[in-house]
Amino acid sequence: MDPAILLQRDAARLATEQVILSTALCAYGVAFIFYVLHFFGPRVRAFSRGATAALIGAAALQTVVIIIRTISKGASPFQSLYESLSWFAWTCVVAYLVIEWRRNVRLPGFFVTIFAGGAVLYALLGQSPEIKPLFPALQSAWFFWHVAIAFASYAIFVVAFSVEISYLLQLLLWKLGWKRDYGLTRENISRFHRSVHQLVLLGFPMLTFGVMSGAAWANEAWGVYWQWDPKETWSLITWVVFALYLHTRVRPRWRGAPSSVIMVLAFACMVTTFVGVSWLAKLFGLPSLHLYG
Amino acid sequence: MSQHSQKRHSAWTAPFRWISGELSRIRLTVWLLIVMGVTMIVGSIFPQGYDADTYVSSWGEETYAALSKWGLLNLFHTKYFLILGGILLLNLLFCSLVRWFGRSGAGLARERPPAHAREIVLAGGHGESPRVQALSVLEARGYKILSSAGNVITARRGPWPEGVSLLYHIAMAVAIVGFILSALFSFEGDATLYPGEPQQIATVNAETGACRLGLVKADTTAWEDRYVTITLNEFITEWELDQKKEYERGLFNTKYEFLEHKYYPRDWMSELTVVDDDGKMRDALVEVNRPLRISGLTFYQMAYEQEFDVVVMKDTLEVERVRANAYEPFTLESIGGTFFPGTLRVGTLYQKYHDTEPVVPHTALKWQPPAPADTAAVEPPTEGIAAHGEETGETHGEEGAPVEDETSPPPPPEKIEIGDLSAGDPIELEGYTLLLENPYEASVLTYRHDPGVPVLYIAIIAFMIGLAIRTYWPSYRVNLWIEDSPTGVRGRLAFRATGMLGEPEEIERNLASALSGESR
Repeated sequence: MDPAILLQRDAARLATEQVILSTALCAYGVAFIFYVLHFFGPRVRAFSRGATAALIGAAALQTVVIIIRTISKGASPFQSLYESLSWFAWTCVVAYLVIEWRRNVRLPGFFVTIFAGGAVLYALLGQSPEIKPLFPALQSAWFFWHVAIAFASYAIFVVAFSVEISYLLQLLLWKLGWKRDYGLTRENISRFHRSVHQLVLLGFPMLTFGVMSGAAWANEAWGVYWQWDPKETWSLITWVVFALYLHTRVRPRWRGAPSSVIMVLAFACMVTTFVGVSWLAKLFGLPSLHLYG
Repeated sequence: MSQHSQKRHSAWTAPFRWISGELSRIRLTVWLLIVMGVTMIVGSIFPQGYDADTYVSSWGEETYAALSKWGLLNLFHTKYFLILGGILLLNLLFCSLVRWFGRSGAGLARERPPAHAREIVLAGGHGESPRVQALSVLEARGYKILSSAGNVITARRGPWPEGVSLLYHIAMAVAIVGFILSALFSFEGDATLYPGEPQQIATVNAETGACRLGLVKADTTAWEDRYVTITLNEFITEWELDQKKEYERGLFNTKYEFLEHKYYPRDWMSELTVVDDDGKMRDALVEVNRPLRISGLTFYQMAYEQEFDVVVMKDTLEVERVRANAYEPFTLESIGGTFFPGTLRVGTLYQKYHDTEPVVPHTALKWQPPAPADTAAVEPPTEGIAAHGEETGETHGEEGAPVEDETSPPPPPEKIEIGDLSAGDPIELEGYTLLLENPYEASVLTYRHDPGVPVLYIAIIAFMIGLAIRTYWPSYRVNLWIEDSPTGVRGRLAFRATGMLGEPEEIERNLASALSGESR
């Protein structure tokens, strides 16, 4: 077939993908509205079911986008920032849906939807969807495992953070005398809060693998496993703060406010590592080995 | 460590006990992690490890001197950071030792059950006492009996959590040792290889700081210099041509338009003949992400050097020929001004849906025409110290931009993109024809010897295995206190689970009912 026609077909596929992703974004919007309604009317089952259904719909649409993307480029669908943001949103939602199914508490869904929808919105409006060839340094078997597992840990931490914020919000609402029933009682809220620890325990080895596989990859590509590049440094800061969180959980007296504060800080570090460092490096012209293109 | 065992220690061990007590505290770990985190945040704000000139040209002498004095520009190699790492290493080691000696009994039960222990009525059967029956129930369910002395049975199913925790804490300590080995004994360098020209690279000599562990001690004079010899047979570059597509993007209305092609580097590699420091010769390939390991050194394909002839023709006659390097500005007497070449594209071209073909050698070229005669003597502003205005005495506006006044020199002429300087398609400029000839590429390799890397790999693998087992693999520990009561033999069951993939509530419930004879 004429290469020009094949290229035209590729471009048309990308345009279709954009439409599907836009539809997924709308589904996130609908889910967000339902989660807001659920906040004010937690006993109305239509709100909670609508929120979950919209979120499942968004995840399903994104699954289609990811499949199209993978077929189009014949490689893992998280190589550019556009793809990474989409992948991040998808992994967050999938991880959250598992938790919602297991715990039957929907309060964190509000926050997860904001993160996932925000990531997709930024991908759609702020990043190029083009599939570009990979730089030689990125053409490595480490790429898939490093990025896939690091993103899985990010997704789990997003859900953990959302549960943490929901826990703090519920405590605040009780303090303010707000008597809506979100499925949390004074008896079961500790168990709900423990799931933050469980989620961090789940994600921490993955984050560890992400950092260490990155170092091993750098050793193969650049000949130095660690150069204290801002991205590397912040990934280690994130790891250290999550390690700190896990150590605070060892002592009963640190399990309350201190661990909550550290959890929030750890999440802020994670966001900085993911998008903040690259953004600041570009903004201020700081040298970074992790800036491509 | 229990109070009972502490009493047995003699007074001379008191300082050691105090030190080990302090160094094994989790509180110390927490504070060390906080201090390390803050230090790293500070280190990420200031770009680390560049040479003085780079800092001075960016920030000026005074700022550089102030930041440098505080060690903020090489923070991760300061004594402060090394000491911090050393204390963390001691903390990890002492925590590990305390775990080993203090908990090697795998969490044997206390004399009395804790308040949360579940109360059950123990059943006997087949003429056996409830105690024997409990032991057989535990064994039948895969529990290993750790202790059954007195009235308490302690059993565990799954990996020993404290032991696994010990493994990854020790692995962490070994990793820090690996970092220290890297910091103390590694060396690196780079080599530019020209085709057919052998180059010797020292593996052990005085210049390398006598760093080959296992081959040489601190005194290098006792050793002959050792080298590997590398000859570049061929340097291969590959490019990928991508059809750039311009998108006009709305959420539901994405239009696209094909624009010009764009070259992306696909790969570059060096075909080499290498002779190791024992004199053995072999052919080898070094590629990005595929380093070559030889005689304790690892070689990486890092970059390339490119040269080419710029030929100036007038009416089919050659009037000038200049040897130029990629990225280095050059001048031509016949035309004037300054020329700025980009990357030389040469090698093999890959393009989606097309056959592979050789690249017609070319490079993008910009031209800065000569300045007008009345301003020719004025030097264009340079980057670096002068850009800060301290030495030039410039007045700066709010954003640091120079404020125009009557004495300010006019800006130099803009650079103009004049197209691709190519071997096939000449450029016409100022009545002359420009052509590219004799493209030539040299390979730039970096090399490194780092004895910390194998240690780190071992530590990382052990750490990951330990962490994964501790986190995911379920482990259950049971303490069962057996008490006689008027209503029969009663038990108090304390159940502890670790590992995320387990179902502790269900397992505890089933075990309790089996011990009480409700289900076997």
